[in-house]
Amino acid sequence: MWYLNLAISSFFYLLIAPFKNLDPLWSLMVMSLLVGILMLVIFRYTSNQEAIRKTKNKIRAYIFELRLFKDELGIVLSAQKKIFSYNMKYMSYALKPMLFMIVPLALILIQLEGWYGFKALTPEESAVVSLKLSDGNQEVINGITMTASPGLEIDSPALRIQSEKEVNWRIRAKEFGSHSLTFNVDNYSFNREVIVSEKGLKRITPASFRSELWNFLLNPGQKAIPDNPYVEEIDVSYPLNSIKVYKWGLHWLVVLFVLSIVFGFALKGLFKVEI
Amino acid sequence: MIGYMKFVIFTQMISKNIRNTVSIIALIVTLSMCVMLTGCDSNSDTASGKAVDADKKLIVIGFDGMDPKIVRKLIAKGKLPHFKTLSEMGDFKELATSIPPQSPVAWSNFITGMNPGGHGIFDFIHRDPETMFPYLSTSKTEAPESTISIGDWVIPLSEGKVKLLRQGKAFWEYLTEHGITTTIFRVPANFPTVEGDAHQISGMGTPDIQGTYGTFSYYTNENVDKFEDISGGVVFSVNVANNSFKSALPGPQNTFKKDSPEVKVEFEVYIDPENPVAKISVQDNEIILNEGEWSDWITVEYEIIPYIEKANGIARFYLKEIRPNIKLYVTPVNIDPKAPALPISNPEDYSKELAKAIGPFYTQGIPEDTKALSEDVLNDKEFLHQTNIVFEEELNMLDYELARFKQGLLFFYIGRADQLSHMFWRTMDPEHPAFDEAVKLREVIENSYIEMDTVLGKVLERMDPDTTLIVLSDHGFAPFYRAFNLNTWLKNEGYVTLTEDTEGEFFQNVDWQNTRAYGVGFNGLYLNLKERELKGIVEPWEKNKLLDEISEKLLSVRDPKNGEQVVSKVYKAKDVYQGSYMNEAPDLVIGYNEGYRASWETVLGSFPEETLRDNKEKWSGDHLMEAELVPGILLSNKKIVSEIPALYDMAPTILAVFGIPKQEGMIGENVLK
Repeated sequence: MWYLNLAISSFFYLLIAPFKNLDPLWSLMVMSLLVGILMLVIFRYTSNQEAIRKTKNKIRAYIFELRLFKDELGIVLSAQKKIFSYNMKYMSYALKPMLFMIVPLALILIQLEGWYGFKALTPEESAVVSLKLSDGNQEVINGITMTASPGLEIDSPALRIQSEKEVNWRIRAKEFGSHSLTFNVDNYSFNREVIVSEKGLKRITPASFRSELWNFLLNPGQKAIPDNPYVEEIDVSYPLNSIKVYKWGLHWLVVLFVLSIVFGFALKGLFKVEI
Repeated sequence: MIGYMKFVIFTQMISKNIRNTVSIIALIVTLSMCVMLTGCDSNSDTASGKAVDADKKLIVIGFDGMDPKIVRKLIAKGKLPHFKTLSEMGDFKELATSIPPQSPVAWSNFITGMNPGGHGIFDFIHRDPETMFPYLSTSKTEAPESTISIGDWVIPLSEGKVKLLRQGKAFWEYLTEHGITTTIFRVPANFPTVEGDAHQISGMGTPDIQGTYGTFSYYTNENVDKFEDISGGVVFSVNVANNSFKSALPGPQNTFKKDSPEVKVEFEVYIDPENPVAKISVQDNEIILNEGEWSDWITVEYEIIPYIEKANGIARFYLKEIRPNIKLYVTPVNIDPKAPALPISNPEDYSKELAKAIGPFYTQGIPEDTKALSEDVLNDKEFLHQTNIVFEEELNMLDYELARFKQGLLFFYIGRADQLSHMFWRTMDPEHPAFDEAVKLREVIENSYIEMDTVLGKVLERMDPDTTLIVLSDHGFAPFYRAFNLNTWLKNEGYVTLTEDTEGEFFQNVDWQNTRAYGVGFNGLYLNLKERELKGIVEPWEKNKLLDEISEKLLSVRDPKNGEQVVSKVYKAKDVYQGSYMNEAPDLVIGYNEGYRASWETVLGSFPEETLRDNKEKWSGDHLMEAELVPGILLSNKKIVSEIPALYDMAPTILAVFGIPKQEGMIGENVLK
């Protein structure tokens, strides 16, 4: 799973790398274009294009009938019933391509969340670090320590919450760069990367997991926590990111959703896709 | 007091959307007509015309409560170099304050160029002559006139309103009508902000999310009995189990629900079993605080209608103590400037723009939490730290405004000297009943003046030589040694009859059929007048004689402790006020002698036993006395030609800088050469 994870992440890294130092909106526009095209292609080859064309024609015809016979109540009701029924049919034709889209789209969104979902810490900004354990053994919890590499400062003592099976610290970013936190739990040692940056796109992963599956889904491009009997998850509370469009700060998913639809409709003629 | 706040917010929101749509249509129609009409010139002058001096520059800095005696003393000591420089560049005079010298009254004089007879603000507290119930004078909310109930929900059918009660046109409305760029920053008595083209952030009078003037929350597992009669905050007793506890942040009343329940946001606190550190989880926020630390601003969302309507607030947590008792203070939940639930700025985006530039900031009218200090929830040092947070925000805002100031008017208000003078007079005055030799913070007030000097230095450094600069305060300061229970005195003199001889509050124990006069607010005395008060008994023809009689008696009151005159001046409304709102004025305005002031109890209609008592509270300095005893300051880089400039002269003066004549209703004159 790690190699699949690495391959997908590297692919996205290559895609985004040329835009890393530009405003994130630019790379997100390119991603939206690619997502729009990908969805068009999937739709083109997994849907019944002929049936969709015929269904849409039927709907148009009954709408026309509605206009023509707007004073004939019986015809109007019958046309409305048929429009509804063909709409249902039309939607059923979209189900199959949607099923084919789910997996690639989910993989894409997971990757993009890492790039656009969070902001790196900036100098003097603080974050909460949480280490989550499989069990709340008091002795183990009391013995956990965390150290930080230069560039980070630990500015609270350990906060041990036995009921939640977790230990928290507050760290403060001091210098730009990729820094590391080292956790010592019993005889095990774990590292966690913390990124401090101000400009440009950075892949940020707030959580890392011991479970390979969770790590694959939620921590793309990063290795899982090494197998151990204690630590399940290590989180760093990076601030949420927003994409600046004109004067609004929007969630990247909103931008991607709108732009990929716009690109999809704009290019459907070029790709000869009946949507 | 403003239980219908959220109702109002929502109906305002709906009507705003409709208004926006109408505005867009109107704009399209207007533009279309412009295109169609030959010769339609977008630069053509409006009826109001452009001012001759529209490109002039004026900065007005309002330092609430700076006292001329203290300023002079510190200038002489060389501690206010920038005040000295400014007075040498132009002039420094005392500025006659309002009658009475209360901030909402004084700043309304400043804003309108009128006195209270013209703008209708006579005191912090007014009363409704129909119900005799006291209310805050500067703004009020009006609930929708009609609603329907569906199950537990109440749906408004008309618009509710938050209304500014100050009357009279603000001087900046004249400025913007003449095309002058104007920014008005936190001037008191301007909530909700006046509509128009001026950039404004509302000031004193702006509520917190609960609709109060600031209600802090305090969570503790110590004995809370000592906080039984607390004001300005709510104390929550918490039960710490397994090193954690749950509680909630109080929010607005949900007037979309029957009985308007309070909306709350739950939070959880986890404490380390040994280390002095705690984690607070509130909605999506997790913060870790060491003992003695303040959090940054935390945004909280109060859900009013699920998925449809919410009200955003911001709060800061202060982890005062972890052991032996947990003590967690939370600031009043302020209206979030990034998503304001009430009109705290004009245009609406201005508060968002500011929050984006400098981060979230206190939006409540008086951000310094004096109540938390008075109630011993914060100690002196903790309170000073809280005020330092406020001041830091103010400096950031000033930097931002100075950077974008190119022409026109910038008015900037800072209330720090006023609030610190209220709370720390006791530390510098050995004669004060609350003076404590052990408390060493002797120089807090002096330091606040030095800080204002730094602010002035910043302005002087960044303004160009063509800019006119005015620095003023609304009143000065004096000690508050002894509290006078006006209503108790009226009762003892036979002007008030009680149904039962208890302290009561809000006049609940007053026998109005046998009461001829009563006190409301800090300086107001009203007759129980027939045809004005609902249960009035004083005939109009008796009025003048009765007022003379009461005035004479008040002036003869002597303090049994030291023989001092308690009331040094009594003003009759007809002698000191002019304007359309004379009928709402108190009949007499009490001018207390230096060292005296109305007690907190009498202000809202209580009748404590003693007529006079020592003021042993931390609120130890004041200005709610005879206006002539507490003038403000006026400095400018221009010569001040008037011998006795007054606050109401400021509006015509500001207009004159831009070549605009004094406007109708203004009673002042231009005081600058």
